[in-house]
Amino acid sequence: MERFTKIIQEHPFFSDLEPGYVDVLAQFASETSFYAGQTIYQEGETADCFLLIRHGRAAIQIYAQERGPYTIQTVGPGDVLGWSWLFPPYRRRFDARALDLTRAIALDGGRLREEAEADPRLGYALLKRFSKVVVDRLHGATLQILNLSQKRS
Amino acid sequence: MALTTPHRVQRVKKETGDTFTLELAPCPDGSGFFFRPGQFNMLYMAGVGEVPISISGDPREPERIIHTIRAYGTVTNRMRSLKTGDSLGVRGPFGRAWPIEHLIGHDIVLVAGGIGIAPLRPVLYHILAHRGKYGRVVLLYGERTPGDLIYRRQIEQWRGRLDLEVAVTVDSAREDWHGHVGVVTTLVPNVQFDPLNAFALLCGPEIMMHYTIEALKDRGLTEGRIYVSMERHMKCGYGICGRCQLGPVFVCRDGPVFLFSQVKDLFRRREM
Repeated sequence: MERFTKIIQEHPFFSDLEPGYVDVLAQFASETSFYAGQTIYQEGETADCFLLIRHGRAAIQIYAQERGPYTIQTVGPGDVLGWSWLFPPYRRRFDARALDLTRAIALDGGRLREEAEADPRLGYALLKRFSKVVVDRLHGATLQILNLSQKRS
Repeated sequence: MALTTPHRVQRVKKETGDTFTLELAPCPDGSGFFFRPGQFNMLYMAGVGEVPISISGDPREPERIIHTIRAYGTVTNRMRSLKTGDSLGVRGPFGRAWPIEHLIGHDIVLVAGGIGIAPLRPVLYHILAHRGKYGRVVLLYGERTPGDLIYRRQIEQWRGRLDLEVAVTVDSAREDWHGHVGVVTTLVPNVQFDPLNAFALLCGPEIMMHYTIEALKDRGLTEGRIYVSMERHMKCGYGICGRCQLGPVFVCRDGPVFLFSQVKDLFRRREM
């Protein structure tokens, strides 16, 4: 567990989290990896964890029936992948696929939700960080739509 | 006052589905003309109209006048049909250039959105020709899709250089694209430069520049170290007709390159 504590502390996403909460997170951490091209998760699946990416890159994709998978964002070392575990109905909104060999720390979302319910300060600390991920992605998506829909100039 | 002079199309290169590059040579002597990176010409197509287009060639090659054009309106769409040997009127160069001499000794961050890469390319030509005079040099380039990337082969070559950091992103991509996906601002946090010793040069849609400036400021770059190239409907090139007036400035004469701290109050103003 000490190893996970150190990794979580050093990861940019949780670098300023209170040490006591880092220990809580470390209890629910495990190592995971995906080979290039491997599906990490698919839209509609139960969102039971999130990943702190340490090495490699992953594509967040949306599947359009007539076009196939479309990448809308890529994430890499220092980024977090997956926020649906924190918000009902706890189902994946997008697909995620490894672009390279990707190594990450997976954190158990279900267990963390229970901890967050019991300790609202931890819940708020998590919500602040993941809300920023959602807001940044919403903002990025808005600009992407604007760029893609603008008359070609 | 610059007069429109006839030029011959030497070469036409299709960059993407809607973007093309014209290489022009003056008629009849072919002596060329000198420009500074960031300046633009007014290109005139007989019977169709005149449009301002940034010069995107190498300033050390005055005999090759290069313009990369994205077909947008009537004139630029008609220009798509130009072939080698056709003639085109050229008036210029106009406008304030990027302050490349002022940037000597500093890190340089170039950020391009879409066709904004074209006015920045001469800067990069200049920097690479005088590479020892500059610190770290970073090029960030964002496009809509991989198919819209222009100068792709050249950018891939630049990316292979050890003295240049190049990052490219697109807004969305099919599965065969293995590069970065996201808006250009998402590249800013991960590039290497010293914010206390760097200057940033931005060219692209105003909204893209706005959020890029925010991202650069988050990295510690001050507004006095950020230059932007503004786009307005430029017509006369001399600041007389008023078409490109932006508050107290005329973009064609006082710009298109501005220090951001000088135009920040005019930036993204709704009524202008």
